[in-house]
Amino acid sequence: MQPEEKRLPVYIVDDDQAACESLSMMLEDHDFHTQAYTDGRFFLENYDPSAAGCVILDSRMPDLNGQQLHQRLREEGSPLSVIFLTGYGDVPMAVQALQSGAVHFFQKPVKADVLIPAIEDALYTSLEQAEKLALRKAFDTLTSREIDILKLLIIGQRNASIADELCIAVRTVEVHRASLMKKFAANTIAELAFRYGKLNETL
Amino acid sequence: MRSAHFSHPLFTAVLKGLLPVFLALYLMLLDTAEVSAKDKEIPVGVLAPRGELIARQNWQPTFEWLNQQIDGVEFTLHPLNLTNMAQAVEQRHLDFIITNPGQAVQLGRRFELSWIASQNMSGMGSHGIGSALVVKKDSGYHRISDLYHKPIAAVSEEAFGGYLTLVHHLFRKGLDPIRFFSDVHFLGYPVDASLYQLRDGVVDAAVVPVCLLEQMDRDGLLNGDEFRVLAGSDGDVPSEKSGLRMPEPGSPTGNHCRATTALYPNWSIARTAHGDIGLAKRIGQALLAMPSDHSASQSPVNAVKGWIPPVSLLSVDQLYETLDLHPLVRPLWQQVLRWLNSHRDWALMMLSALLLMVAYHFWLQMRFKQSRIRLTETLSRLAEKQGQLEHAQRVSIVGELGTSIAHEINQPLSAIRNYTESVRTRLKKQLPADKITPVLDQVVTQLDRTDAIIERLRSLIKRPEVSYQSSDLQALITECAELIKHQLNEQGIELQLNKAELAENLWLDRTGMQQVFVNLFSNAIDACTEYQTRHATGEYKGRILVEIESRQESVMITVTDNGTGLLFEGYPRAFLTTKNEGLGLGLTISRDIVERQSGTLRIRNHLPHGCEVSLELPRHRHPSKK
Repeated sequence: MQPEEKRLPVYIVDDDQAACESLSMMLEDHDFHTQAYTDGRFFLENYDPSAAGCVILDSRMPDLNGQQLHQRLREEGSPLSVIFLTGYGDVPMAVQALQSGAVHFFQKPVKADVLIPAIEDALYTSLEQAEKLALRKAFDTLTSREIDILKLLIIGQRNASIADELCIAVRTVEVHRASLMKKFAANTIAELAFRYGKLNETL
Repeated sequence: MRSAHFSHPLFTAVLKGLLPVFLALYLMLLDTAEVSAKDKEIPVGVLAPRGELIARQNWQPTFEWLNQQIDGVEFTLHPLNLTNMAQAVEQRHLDFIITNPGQAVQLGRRFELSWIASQNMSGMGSHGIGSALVVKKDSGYHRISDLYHKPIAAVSEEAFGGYLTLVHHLFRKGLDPIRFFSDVHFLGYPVDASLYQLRDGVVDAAVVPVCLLEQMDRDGLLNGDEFRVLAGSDGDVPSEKSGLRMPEPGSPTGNHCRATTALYPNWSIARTAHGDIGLAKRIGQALLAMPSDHSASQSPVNAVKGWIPPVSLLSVDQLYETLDLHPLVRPLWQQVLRWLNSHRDWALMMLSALLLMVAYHFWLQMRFKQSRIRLTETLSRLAEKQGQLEHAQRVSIVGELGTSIAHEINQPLSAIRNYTESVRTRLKKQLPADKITPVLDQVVTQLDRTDAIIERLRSLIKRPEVSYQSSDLQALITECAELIKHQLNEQGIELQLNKAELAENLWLDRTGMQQVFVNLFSNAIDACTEYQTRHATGEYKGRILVEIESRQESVMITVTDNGTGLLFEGYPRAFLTTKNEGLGLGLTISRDIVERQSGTLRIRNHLPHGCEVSLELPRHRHPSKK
């Protein structure tokens, strides 16, 4: 596993303090960075909505249960991967959870050698998800002129031909091109094209 | 029947002795028959104490005389007993009657009777009726007092020449006639039977009409020498004024008749209201004119010596008056004994009925006893079943709590698993013991928690018997709330417990009370859930409020929820359920448990929706162990 992923936060939300603490301890011992919450609302107030990571949710909690919390995360567009833990597994709940985008669904008590790969998987997914979200965000900041130049750049036209086609000065094309490269954090045209392609997958 | 009659020694003797008389009678009847064709029939009733046959024998000569003396009429003889005579007079079937002085007075009181003539007896004159108390000659009885508390025979309680005159005699002597004899056998007519009983030794003495003994001796029915007539007391002097005549004590009265009592007027003939006065006059003339040597008066049977003008019946009237003033009240036991004697069949029937009733009574008693034993058995079985039922309901609660329990146990279990993983990892990393021991401490804490959950559950289903313990009621309620905590969480229902200051513990059936509270809370949760799914708008939140109030003599616990409320208000009844999966037993069993502890459980609706259960438990109660 790459250290980058391992650094990502693992949130634990469970109303039972012992469950929270024990899980947190176990995962810390496996070198994860955990944050434990016994109250769903408190978690929602404190997490970083744009950051990647994983959240392990207890499906049955007072006030705000696992499903409701998951719903709120999706509404807020969080890239966090969700793993459900439930005391008493019931299939409809699991199906619903997975359909709404949960990565995994486990019945308590869950074994460490099952849970840990699932968390790693979730972190990886979350990372990808976060990347896509960042691209999407970058794309959303483009002006219409920049989008036109981007599309022509990707099909392999040079600055001069772009300037001709759009009836603008070559200098202007160069300025927009630099802005594009910066927004997508790309050094080369190939890099830009790769990221744009990735973005198109999600669109 | 008839041959049987004639084979009787009495009748054989009568036939042998009276053959000539029969012949004469026969001829006379033929003669009468001829006359009757043209003459008017005049019915004359004659009292027949010795039976019809003897009455005809005795009286036929007199009737013959009358028919000879009086032209134009035909007197017919109607032998009757006391009862029939009275009836015949009442129904006006008779023109004239011939009867004894006793009945003469009795009838004279009720009907219009004119006395025509009285009989005159040879040697006895106008007074020839009385009683003779007869004993056996060789017996030790010489005076009436010798017969004290001995049984005697008599004809009838109503017989004048016989029992009544003797009773009157004893009465005048200052004796209690009822208690004097140990028993009086009333043998009924004919009067002869009394003397036969005496002869056969059934009784020690017999009271019979005067002259009966002598007549029967003469007729050869008895040997007169075997018997003796007791003398009446010599202290008793009859009043001349009353017309009573006292015979020589125990001596033959004139014509060989001996009497014990005073003598009363003879038989008389009277005209009834129906009879003709003119005819009465002619009868009187004819009878008074009867010569004393006429065959009618010379009849050896009744020793009649013609007729004389009617004798005063005052003495007889006085006798009845005395006896009426002092009614013959017998002691109860004698009356019962007499009744039993005369109604043997009825007595037997009654006795058997009584025996049957007694047997029935014992049978019923036995059945009752058996039923009682069965009832006791049934009751104890019922109590046992009640215990089992309560236990079953507890188990069913545990079933309902199953999901909840599983989840609850899962929490510490998964924690233990996690901690164990940590320990393993830390050991693998060869961390020092001070990094491992705290984790193990956590494991132990979680194990304790698991234990507690299991213990709570176990205490709920532990034993079917009831046992009372000093308990902290509020701790018990908290424990029950723990048991359903998960359900509360799941349904998002809030349970609030308002405690009170309870100075001391209560004596409670702990298991039972746990069952009660878990039942009440479960019901409340169900009601809230039901309300939420059916009626609630977004803002609804289920709430259960438990309030404990300390009172003078009791503790009041109120469980209020804001669920659907009740369909059935009031007193909880079994198998009445509104829930699809409910047994309908929760409340009923809870009520039973509370009532067993002398408490009360009431349930009612709460506004705007929901219900309120009030549970009152006595404060100072140390239930005696049963």
